[in-house]
Amino acid sequence: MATAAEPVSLSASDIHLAFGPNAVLRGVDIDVPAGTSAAVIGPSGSGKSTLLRTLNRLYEPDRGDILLDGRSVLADNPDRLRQRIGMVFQHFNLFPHRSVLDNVTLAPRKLKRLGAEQARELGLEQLDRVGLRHKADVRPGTLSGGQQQRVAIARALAMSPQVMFFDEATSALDPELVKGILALIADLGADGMTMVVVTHEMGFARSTSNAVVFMDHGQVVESGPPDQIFEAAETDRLRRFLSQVL
Amino acid sequence: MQEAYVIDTLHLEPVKFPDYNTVYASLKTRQIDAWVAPSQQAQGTVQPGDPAQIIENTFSLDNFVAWAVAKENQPLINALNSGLDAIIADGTWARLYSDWVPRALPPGWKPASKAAPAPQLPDFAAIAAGHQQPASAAAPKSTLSQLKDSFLDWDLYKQAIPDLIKTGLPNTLILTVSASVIGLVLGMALAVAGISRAVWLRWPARVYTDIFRGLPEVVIVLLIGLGVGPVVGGLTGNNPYPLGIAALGLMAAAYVGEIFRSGIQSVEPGQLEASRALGFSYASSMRLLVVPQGVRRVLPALMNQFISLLKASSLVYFLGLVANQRELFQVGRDLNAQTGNLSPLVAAGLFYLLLTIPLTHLVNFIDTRLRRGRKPGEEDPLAVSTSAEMI
Repeated sequence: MATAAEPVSLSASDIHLAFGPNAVLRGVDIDVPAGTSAAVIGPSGSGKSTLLRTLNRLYEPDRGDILLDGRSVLADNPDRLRQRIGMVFQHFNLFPHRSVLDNVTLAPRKLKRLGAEQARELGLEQLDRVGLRHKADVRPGTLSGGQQQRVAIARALAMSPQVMFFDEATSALDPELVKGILALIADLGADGMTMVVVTHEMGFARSTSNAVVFMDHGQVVESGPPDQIFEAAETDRLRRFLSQVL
Repeated sequence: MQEAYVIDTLHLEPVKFPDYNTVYASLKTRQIDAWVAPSQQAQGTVQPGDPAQIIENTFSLDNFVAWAVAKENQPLINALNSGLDAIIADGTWARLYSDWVPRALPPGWKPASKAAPAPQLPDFAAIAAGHQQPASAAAPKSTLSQLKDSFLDWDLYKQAIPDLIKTGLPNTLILTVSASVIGLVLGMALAVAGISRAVWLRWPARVYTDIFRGLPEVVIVLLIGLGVGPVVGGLTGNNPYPLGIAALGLMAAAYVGEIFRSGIQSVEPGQLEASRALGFSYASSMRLLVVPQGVRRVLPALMNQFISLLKASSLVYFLGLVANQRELFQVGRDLNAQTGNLSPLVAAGLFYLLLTIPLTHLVNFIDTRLRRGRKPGEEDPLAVSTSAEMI
């Protein structure tokens, strides 16, 4: 099942970001061609999650440029930009006071001015896609972690994004639920969605992404096709990291 | 003048009582030892069997009405005397005197000119003896019956309750609800300003909250009710009622603002982040997602604030309201001041409890619901949408 929007390319160059005296991103370059997925790996605190939030301008970069579909987006309205980029979080961040269906349809209704009936149809379609149509009317709190993350994915997809970000989407899940979510993400990639996936699942990064980016201390240390990163690491830091996580 | 004399010359500290009834109540409870009272006042107040008695009535029988005329103004003296002589002669003087000042004339004293005959007056002593009540052998009342008298005077309840229902209750509710509306609207503005990143918004909200939360309620009511009154007199028609509402509302806003702020800040930052990641602006995110969740969490605290406000509404008493503006407390207090009996205040208190106790239990109910979540299969009373498909 293809998403409504045509996939676009995403690239960023020389991204710098500091919180006060604390430099979190120190000149990051990343290039994700249209319809491909990039896995971002690296130790905790390396700036992976911050990079995602800077690419959709939840944080404004101090320096550098972000290109979506080959065009700089730094002068755009950031709210408009974020409507084009779906994001899935480690802790789901569903809206607990609204039904599952409302979670999915809120943004299309309010931001795309979809009518109630149309929004409902769209919401049920998205929930169907993640296998949770029958939970449309319950509160997210009654769902398991895996189900909540599926709803979060449906919520992001309902806005027909051109790019999807996954920020450690399986890190907060019970081990037996991880596989299902990873399969869902892999399906999205197979459908041709442009994706940036921050993950600790090395097997997943290797098997389903077109490129792997290794970050440490706010910089991209090494990047390339999965086989090259996992089999022929060029730097000591990547080799050390891989020896610890594999 | 008297006060200055007591303080500056005698170096004593006077205690001021608002009215005679309060003085007498203090006397009965032995907070004071004696009361030098106006004769009539004491005779009207001290009842047989009370734990207090009049030990001496120094009311002077020689208090007669006189006209002061300059000694050499003989024509005026003559005129007055001839007038008096005339009404003494036709009996008018005796009738007026008997009706209004029925007591014996001082020995050897005669009104008007010496030439006139003495007025024919009845024998007051004999009449008084005839009216003499059999010396009431009222035994001192027991403590229990004294308490019963001062708290449970059914006649006063009957007198107070219609006023409490017709005047007090509506006014208390009007004051409380209007002030709550002001408090909620202004409080929400204060909360949003208080968590704003803009210093020029955050700072004034902070100062406002500190001042209005830091002052005693009665001070705010008096300062706004009496201080602002003359300034906006044209607007309010010099009616302190709207100012009372304003004072209560401004005060409530400070507390409500802090309650809202704590609620909003207790919402996980991930909620705002997720909302903004979907493309909602900061304002929309707050309005649609963060604030509704924050408010839900602080509903019990808000209800408590509402109860406080209900009680604080009695403070408009200090602003001096006209009869039909009186709220519960003032209705009870006025009748209490008239009669010196506490029953009307007890009645007013019962009305407050009638309002506050159910509210308190509602708070507990909401609190338990929010803590435990709803029971399976049960509708969430706070939910906007219904859960049709609970599994």
